[in-house]
Amino acid sequence: MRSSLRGPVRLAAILLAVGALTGCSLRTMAVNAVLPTLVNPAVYLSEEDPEVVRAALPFLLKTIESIIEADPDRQDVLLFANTGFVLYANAFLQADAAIAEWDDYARATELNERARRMYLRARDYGLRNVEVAYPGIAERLRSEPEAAVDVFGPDDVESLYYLGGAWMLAISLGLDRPALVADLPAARAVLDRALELDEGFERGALHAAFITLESVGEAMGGSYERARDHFTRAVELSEGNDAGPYVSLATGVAIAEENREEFRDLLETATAIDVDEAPENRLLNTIAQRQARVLLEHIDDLFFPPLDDGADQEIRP
Amino acid sequence: MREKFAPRPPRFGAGRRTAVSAFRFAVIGVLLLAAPALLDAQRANLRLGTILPANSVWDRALKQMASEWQQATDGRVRLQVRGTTGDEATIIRRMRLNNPQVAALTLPGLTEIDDAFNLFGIPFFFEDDGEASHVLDAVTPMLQEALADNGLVLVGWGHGGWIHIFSAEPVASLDDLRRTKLFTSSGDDGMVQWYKENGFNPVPLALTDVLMGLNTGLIDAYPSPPYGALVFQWYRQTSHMLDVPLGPVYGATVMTERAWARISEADRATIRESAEKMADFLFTEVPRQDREAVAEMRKRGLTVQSASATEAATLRSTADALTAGWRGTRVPVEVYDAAVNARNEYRNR
Repeated sequence: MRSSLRGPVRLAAILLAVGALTGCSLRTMAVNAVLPTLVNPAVYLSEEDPEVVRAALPFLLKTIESIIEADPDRQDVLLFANTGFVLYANAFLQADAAIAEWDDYARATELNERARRMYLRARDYGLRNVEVAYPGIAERLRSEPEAAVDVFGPDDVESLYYLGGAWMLAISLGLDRPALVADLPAARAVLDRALELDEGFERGALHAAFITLESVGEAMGGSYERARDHFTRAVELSEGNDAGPYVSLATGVAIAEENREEFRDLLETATAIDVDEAPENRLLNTIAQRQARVLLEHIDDLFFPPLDDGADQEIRP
Repeated sequence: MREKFAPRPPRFGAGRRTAVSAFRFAVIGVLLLAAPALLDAQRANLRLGTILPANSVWDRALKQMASEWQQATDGRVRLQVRGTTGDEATIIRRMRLNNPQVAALTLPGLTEIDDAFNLFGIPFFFEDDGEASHVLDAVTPMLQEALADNGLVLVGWGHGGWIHIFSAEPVASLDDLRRTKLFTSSGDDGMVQWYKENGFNPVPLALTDVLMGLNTGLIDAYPSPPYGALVFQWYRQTSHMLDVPLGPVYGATVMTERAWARISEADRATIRESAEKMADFLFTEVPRQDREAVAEMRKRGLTVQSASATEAATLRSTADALTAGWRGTRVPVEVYDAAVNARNEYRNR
């Protein structure tokens, strides 16, 4: 039917004309059409086989980067780049490094270095994302972090979570780099502001992050007590279906407090979670459970024998 | 009297030769049967305790060294580096149970083991790494002996950076420093006493309370390597740093004699060589890291108070007079004298 075809054709012609007039490229229009289906994190986060995501993400992330090149100020794409690179670095580089470190230090170093660089790439997309809405914020975050974050509102929580997360993870892998360490107050202020704005974000994701943040030791302003409070709230908000908080408390606090029994309990709870209970978190749960199992295998390497038993316990080869 | 780490191994005198041919095959048989046990004695699965944080330059250097030990000894010596959040005193107590068998200790831990290490805590005693390394070489045999008296073997040295004075108000002289509320590590009563006797205002605190102390005004000055001031973010409360180093934070990797005894001579040499490589790395990398830390803190408001050569010399000679009393009290006489001699030798050459 002629008339029904004419509509879309005309519309396309008009759009092209408008596009030409406004300098909007065909490439951008293609991006607009494909983006909603491409940028759907749920498809990745619900995947049951981490290897599928490991293989798929790089292509997607490079595509996203080419979109950013065509349209540098699209906040949704910048946020996705921030999120995607953090996910890849965390789930597939740093997690592998943690396993490799037990018997292949050279490989662990290589993976951690790749992870650090990728976190920084993620952070830079995150900074560009908030710069679009708040020009000059990247500089202010560094010079006066606690005051700078006041501009952010409830709509920014997701951006803050991934920006702060990427920044903090990069710092934690780069403690031998003073230029990176100096940004610690900025990364912390970003995450503090996110928690202040929406503590219930993503079923306790922020509280889960704060378990690790508070586990840094008191000299650096951390507190195991506060880490435990965040753990309780994270478990509450995720209804116990997120393995992450259990692994974080085990590695961050139970080891530090030399509580071997708690360490084991937490990790056994993490591994017992049914990943199908929370399909939206299937990928991260699967990865956290793999990490928990490796930690349980090495429990004897992570804890010294108790001091008070007085026995002379030499480790036998 | 400090508890020893382990009883000295009994000395076995050379047995008399009882070469009776009838027993030859029997002896060989026994040796063959014992071979796995003998090999076993040359293998060591070791753990290293340290308070140094993961992914720091020290943690990386230690793990690299551990990896080299394993490779260079074909797996006979395996070292698992595991940081702990406890203090060095706890690591030392654990070493008495031979687990961990190895530790990377900094000055507080080393002085806990023996007073000889207080040498490196004498304020303004050393000018730079060249001088301090020269003295370190000279006193190393004495320090090894001090460690051996405690059942420990020195594997290699480490470097934690040079301590500087950070303060809320500018400090250019000892008199300026006397006007500050100065953090000092709790637990060292002798140091607190020395500060007080010399007109300083020390505030003993645990390391974990420094940030709180700065935030509440309990302290307004502290000695720290620049990297420490940056990573703990203490510098945000103290915008001045005196550019005359107070002293080096040297560290050491030590092993219990019991574990050392299980390692063959050849593997010991390999281990020491690798530890020396680590020391070379840290003696270059840690000062570089501190220079970078100062540059980053300057970008964020830190003022570096420089001192002329004359001012620095005055400060050092005044401090020398004040710390002369450490000889024979905080630092054993022979160590103190050997250090002064080596330092003079270095300065006069």
